Amino acid sequence: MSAPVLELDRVTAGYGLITVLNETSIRLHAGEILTVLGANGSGKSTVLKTSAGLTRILGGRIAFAGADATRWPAHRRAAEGIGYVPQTRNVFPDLSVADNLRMGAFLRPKNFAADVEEVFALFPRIKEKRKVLARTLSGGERRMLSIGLTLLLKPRILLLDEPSSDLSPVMVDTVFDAIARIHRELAIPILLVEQNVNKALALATRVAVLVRGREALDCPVAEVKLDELKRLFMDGGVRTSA
Amino acid sequence: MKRNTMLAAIGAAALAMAGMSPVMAEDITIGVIANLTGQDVNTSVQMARGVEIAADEINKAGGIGGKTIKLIVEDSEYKTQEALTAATKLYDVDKVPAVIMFGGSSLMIAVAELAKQEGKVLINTSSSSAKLGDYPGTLFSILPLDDILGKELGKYIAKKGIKTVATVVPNNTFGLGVADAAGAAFKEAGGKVVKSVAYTEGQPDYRADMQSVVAAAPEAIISAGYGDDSRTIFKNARELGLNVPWFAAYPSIFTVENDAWMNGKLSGVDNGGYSNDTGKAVLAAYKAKWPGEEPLAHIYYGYDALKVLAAAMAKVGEDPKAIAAELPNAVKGYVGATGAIAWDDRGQRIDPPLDLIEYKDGKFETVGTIQ
Amino acid sequence: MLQVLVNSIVYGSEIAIIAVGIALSYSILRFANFAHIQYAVVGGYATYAGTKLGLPIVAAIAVGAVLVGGLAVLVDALVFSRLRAIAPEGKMIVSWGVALFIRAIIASVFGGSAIIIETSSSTIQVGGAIFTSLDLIVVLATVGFMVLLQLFLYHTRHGSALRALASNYDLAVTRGIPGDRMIRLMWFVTGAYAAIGGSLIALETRLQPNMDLIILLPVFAAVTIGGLSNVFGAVIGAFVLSLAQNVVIAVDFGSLLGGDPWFVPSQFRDYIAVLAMVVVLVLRPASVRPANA
Repeated sequence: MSAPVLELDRVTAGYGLITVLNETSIRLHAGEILTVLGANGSGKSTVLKTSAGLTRILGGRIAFAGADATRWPAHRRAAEGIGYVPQTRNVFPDLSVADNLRMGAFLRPKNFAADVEEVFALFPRIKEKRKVLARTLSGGERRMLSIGLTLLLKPRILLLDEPSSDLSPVMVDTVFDAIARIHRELAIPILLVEQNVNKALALATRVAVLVRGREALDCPVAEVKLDELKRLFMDGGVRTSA
Repeated sequence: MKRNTMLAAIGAAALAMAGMSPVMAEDITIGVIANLTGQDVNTSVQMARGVEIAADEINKAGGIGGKTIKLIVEDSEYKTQEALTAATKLYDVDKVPAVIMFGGSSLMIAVAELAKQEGKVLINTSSSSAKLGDYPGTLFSILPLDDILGKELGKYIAKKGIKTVATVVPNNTFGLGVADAAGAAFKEAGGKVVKSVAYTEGQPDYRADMQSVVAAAPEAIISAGYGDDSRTIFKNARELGLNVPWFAAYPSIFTVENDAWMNGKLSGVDNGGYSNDTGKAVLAAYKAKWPGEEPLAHIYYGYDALKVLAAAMAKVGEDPKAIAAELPNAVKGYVGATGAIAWDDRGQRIDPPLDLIEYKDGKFETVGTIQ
Repeated sequence: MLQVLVNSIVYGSEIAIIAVGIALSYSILRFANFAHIQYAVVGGYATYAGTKLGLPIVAAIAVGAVLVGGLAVLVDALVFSRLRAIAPEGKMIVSWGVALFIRAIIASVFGGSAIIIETSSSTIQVGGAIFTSLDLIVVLATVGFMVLLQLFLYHTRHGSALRALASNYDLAVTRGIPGDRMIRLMWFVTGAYAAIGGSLIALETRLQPNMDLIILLPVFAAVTIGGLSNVFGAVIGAFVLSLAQNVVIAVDFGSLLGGDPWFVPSQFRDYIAVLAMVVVLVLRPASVRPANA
């Protein structure tokens, strides 16, 4: 296998005085969709936030496209091509949808008009709503907007935090279809954190399981044994909602 | 301001050293309370220097019954509490029979209350609130109270043929005293007060207050005040186009804001009479002792305060009750630096020499006297 | 009553231009910066110093605004940037400490007595209302600077980035918006606006070291009425409380109640500001809810 695009090597990280990740290692390679599973509180979302530069890194190393990204501030990581879609607080509620998209393209203002049409092609609903404040959007529309404004960054990888949460089943399908399309058409690797295990396994090419901030499993999706997954979730001490 | 602060510091140091010199058994001690730090420092220092000039003169001539006058100077910091602390120390620890004081009305009244309880004497050289008349036998004023000066002001304006005025004064005992007395005298002479403004001190602007004056359209303004607030009042009046004459009690203590605008507009009644022989001698002594420093009228009040006190003490000794009883007699026939002093039965000055002064070309000119 | 309206607009303008800066910094950093009031005072003194050095007034204000903008950036670099992680209450108290420090410096440099910046203005009379040409300039300047701020925040890339940071900081920085650099830009703008506001007040009234206490209450009341983090809410807040203040002191309550004329003394203006703030908060509690809660 080729060298990973994004690698967290025994990273210890957290918020303030709280440590969430404890020597966690995750590797994301070109061409793949890696889904990170784990019970609540296992540190899945923190893996994404740490990759995006929103946590305090206390140990270990993060490499991105071969460079040491451990000390890069969040905006530098965005500039280098790490596209992060948070689970909650994923839009700018006080800005119009159009301004949200414009801020997504903060680093690439030049071809905004053309780029934004690609987002509208992916999510036609967003185009209709471009004049309203983002705070008035439904949960599904917000999700689409947040993915759309992240794509305007022209990311080299995509970090998706629970794209299915709080969405209706129909909307979940729409969003997952879009993710599959992005992966297919833009050919960018995706690191996907997801509660919906079935959806995630259907989309992913590889799966990693975190137990209390540590990687407990890492294998191609084809090799996953559901019994083993279940056992790891139980080990986490928390019931899975999947 | 910087220069004033400097003078004050030098003055305070000098006075403190004077206070530290050992008091001999054959000395007569007299207390002085003044604002040596805080507000109005320079005027206080000037008053204290006037007292010093009188003490030098008396001591050179043999003192009081052979005893040398020693002054003990205390700082009131322009705070009532500090003034009371200073007075308690002077009356109780230093056992002085009398204190000469410079301070605002509120400080003066507090100390007068204390002096009354202790049966001591207080000579007022600075405050002119009519409330000071409530301490007969304790407090004696070298300065005429506001009601006297205000009355003269009201009569003077009426004589000018003016029919309507607005009063603009700070909301304190001094301002209200002037407004009441001048307004009453003006009404008695047939005039009408169309607007009364008592403004709060220390505000950054008085636009609303002055607009109400403009709206009342008076022919003239009766005013009193001092310092930054008076300057702001003038600024707002000028900006609002209030181009009527200002008649004031003590116009010389105003801070004029705009020389050109104020030229010929401001006049009023001020204490006067310093141009007699005693006044000239005091001025000469001042210039000899503090060459190059600008004297203020306050030196004359300090000087007269100690002179009348010494005259009484020369007759009856150091018992405060006897001094208080003798003081009204002691001033009879005394022509001091501030003119002939006459007291009513409250111990308050009546018929003081008053000057009519007018603001012309950046300074005040004496244009007449009221006697 | 026209006069009351004119007075309200003039006073509201002076307050508004200072209040917007507090709202702007609150919207991004989530704490009420008390040192902001001091930036206004320093601005006033800087303008005075500029005129003393022979600068025309407009140039003196401009130089003062740039210097105070720089001061605000410096204060952030020395103090606030080191405290990003602490609770808002902590930052607020530290900002008060900074304010007292700046105040002490002002008093030691310029002394305690009041300073009037000499201006020549003429009187204008419109339908019974009297105001000065300076009043007119103050109001026009405020309108101009508000339009400028509106254009900056809504029609420039950096202005929009500031709004994005205020709306969702983490999302903004992961879009590549350099948070720390934009915060410095924000401080510069707020400092400069405070200095302009302080200079206008200094021209209208007078400079004195306790000017901070005189503007503190109305400015913070305006920001609170406007919803703390809402820049243009603060402008509306400034005019609401200015109108309340001027109406209350202009009404003859004595005659209304059938007695002798009696007015609320003008020194109660500031308490009316607080009262107006309380009334607005009670009637419209949503206005204090942070924008993205």
